[in-house]
Amino acid sequence: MSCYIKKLNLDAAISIANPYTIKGMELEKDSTLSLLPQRDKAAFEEIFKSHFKRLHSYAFTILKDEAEAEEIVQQVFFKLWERTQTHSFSGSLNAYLYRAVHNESLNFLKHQQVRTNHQLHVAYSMKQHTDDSDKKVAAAELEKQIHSALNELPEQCRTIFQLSRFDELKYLEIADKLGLSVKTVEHQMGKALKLMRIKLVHFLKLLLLFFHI
Amino acid sequence: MNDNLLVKYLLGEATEAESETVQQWIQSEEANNRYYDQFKQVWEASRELAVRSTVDEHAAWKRFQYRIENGGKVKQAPGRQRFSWIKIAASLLLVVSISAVLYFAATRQPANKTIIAQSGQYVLIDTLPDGSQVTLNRNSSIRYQNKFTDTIRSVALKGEAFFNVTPDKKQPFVVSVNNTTIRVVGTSFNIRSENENTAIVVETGEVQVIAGGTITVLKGGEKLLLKAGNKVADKEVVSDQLYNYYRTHEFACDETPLWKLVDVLNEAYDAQIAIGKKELRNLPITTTFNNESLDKILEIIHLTFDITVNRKNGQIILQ
Repeated sequence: MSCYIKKLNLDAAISIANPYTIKGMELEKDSTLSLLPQRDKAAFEEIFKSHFKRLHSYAFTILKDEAEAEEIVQQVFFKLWERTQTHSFSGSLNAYLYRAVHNESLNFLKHQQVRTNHQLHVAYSMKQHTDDSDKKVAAAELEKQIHSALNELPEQCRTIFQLSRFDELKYLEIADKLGLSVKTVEHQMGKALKLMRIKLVHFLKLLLLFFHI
Repeated sequence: MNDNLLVKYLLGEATEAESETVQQWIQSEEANNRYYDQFKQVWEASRELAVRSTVDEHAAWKRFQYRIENGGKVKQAPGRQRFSWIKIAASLLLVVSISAVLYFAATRQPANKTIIAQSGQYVLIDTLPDGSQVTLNRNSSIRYQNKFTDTIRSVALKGEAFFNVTPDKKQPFVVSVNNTTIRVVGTSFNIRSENENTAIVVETGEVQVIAGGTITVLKGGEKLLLKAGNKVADKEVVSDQLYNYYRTHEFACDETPLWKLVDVLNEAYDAQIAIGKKELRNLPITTTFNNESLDKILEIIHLTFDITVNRKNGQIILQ
């Protein structure tokens, strides 16, 4: 069964090297969850290791805490491990993992709201203390606003934004990874920035006033 | 304009034809430009939120295996703190232990701590652990242990100091200066070291000077000069108390040649007094200036010896 996984990795490697020559169809078929080996530990290890860093970074950008982010990713993989025994899935493995990490992270935030708010506040106000110039205070405030706007994006929007902005993937690569059409990625990226612009436009105008007078 | 297309353009995903359309739209109106700029700002500022995972995936996998083997139970993740009473108790114990150690360390006299007393622009009076008193002239320093536990009371000197040593026959008082050792039991004396020369003036009691392989015994009112290389000169009888000026605030001259007084005045007042005529150098002065200003002293010199005092660019020339 592990041969499927091998092929998946190989395809992923090719898709990064030359994303425009790979047909999305074939990749999508290979990365479906239904092909996950049942309790094949070696295969699972490969999946875990090849996805861990990106998923961890994703949770990290939401939670701003490395240890909590790892806990989320570990939980997501553990649930996946449990389910491969009893269920069969269909759909993209990547899409499933990103969706799960996103939802679990937000869930965690919801339960830890008080603490996390405090943490974020501390993290950002520390930034403000060390960088005392007005410009840097404004930059830190903008970062904070963007962070909360990001966390309010719908899951698919947020995941695609993650892959585009932080993993620096092209639309086609994102489409391949998540088993979506390029058109969908394009639409979701437009939506992500549109929603963020609406959330931030007031603050952006303030910034403009702040620096250009 | 379609937002999706704007974003597509911003991210470099647009085709050439699309890019042209977007550029035209942006340039056509200032409002459009501003609108596009807001997208750009959001996009660029969001880069700051990027975090790269620094957790090693192989280590993470090991933790994951533990989780599988224990049916989902979590091994302590690195850097993750969970409350447990054992931990709280351990922390408290640690705090108490550290406090106790610090308390005992603070209340116990620290062994052999070196103390350095240093005078800067002002004369400094310091009392040593045995009660001996040291008056440090300006720009001088002494170094000693906070407790005289050794068989001798050892002090190292740089510059000039007057010592008034508490008598203790069992524990001699020893000053090291310029490779010279001055050994006393209980006495008062002045040591002045300048460059590699050392001058020892004894006021009361007896002092042994060990230098250049010889021991010279000095008694009250005697003076010894040691030149560079520890060449011991003959003992002299102290002619005046001028050396004591920094302690007594007096310039006591007793048949003292003018050049000597000028040297001391230069040192005491940071002045630049020069003698303009050679024949004036050895003019003997017998007087005591008590806590007087330099101007007053110069005035007295001028009146007493009919010497003119010329001031030029901070220099004072006696003629």
